[in-house]
Amino acid sequence: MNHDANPTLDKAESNLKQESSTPAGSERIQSRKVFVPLVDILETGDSLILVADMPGVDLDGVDVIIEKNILTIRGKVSDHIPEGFELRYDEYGLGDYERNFTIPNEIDRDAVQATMKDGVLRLTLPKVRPAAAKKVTVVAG
Amino acid sequence: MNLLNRFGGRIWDPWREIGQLQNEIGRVLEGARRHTGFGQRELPAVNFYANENDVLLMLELAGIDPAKVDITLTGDTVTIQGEHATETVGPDENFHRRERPTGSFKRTVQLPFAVEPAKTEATYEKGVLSVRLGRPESQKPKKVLVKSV
Repeated sequence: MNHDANPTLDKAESNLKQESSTPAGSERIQSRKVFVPLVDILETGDSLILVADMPGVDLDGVDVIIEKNILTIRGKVSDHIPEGFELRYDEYGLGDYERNFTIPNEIDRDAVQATMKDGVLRLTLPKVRPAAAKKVTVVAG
Repeated sequence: MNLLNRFGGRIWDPWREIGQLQNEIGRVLEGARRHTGFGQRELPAVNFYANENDVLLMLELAGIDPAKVDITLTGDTVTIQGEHATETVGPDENFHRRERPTGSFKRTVQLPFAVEPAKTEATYEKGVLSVRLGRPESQKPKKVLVKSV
């Protein structure tokens, strides 16, 4: 899963929130900003683990969609500013999260598991067990 | 190498020119960096909200252990420090991507007034740390009545 459908994040700015791009020629309908969540992807013997930071998103706001070989993660940020408070100064933008990944064929799409805790989405993408080699007997025709 | 010509003047040295150009570019870039603050931005980022009585600092810190967050108040300065949630891998495992912040973080914010430690509370929800700081009575905005004479 080392190929990313979004432009690669610039290393120098990797800790800052970056807005997600739209596919060429399309525009967003909503005025809400959409950010690219920062991810760690690690590979263990039997699966790939994807960990995405989506602060402000809870269990109800997260969507994980696998269509063919594209994995899309989306997080909707619910409003968390207490009533009566006004923004005076901001260093980070508020908005939703979205990012796409192409996943390798060896991933078992039906066995993907996802958990959400403290704004962190954790996906476990198990690899399909390699099919046992099968020998075809060739008979004389 | 003899860089002086027979008239005693300096002859053209391309290496010197390149060195000067490098210095010049470095100087311009340094100025640009200082100007925009780019590259020295403090992290984690803080959003600052206020109402009449309190101020609220919010920091996006996904996956941290709130028990390990340390908030210190000194007069009008708040220091928030803790550890990022860091993924680790076993001997047979490896990272394909590692973008999430690791290690410890520390952020110091200076407020426009001294805060009342007793009125401070912090909560951690959905990966967002909120620190609510109370304004002492003496620091609250006061309304002045205008009397007609």
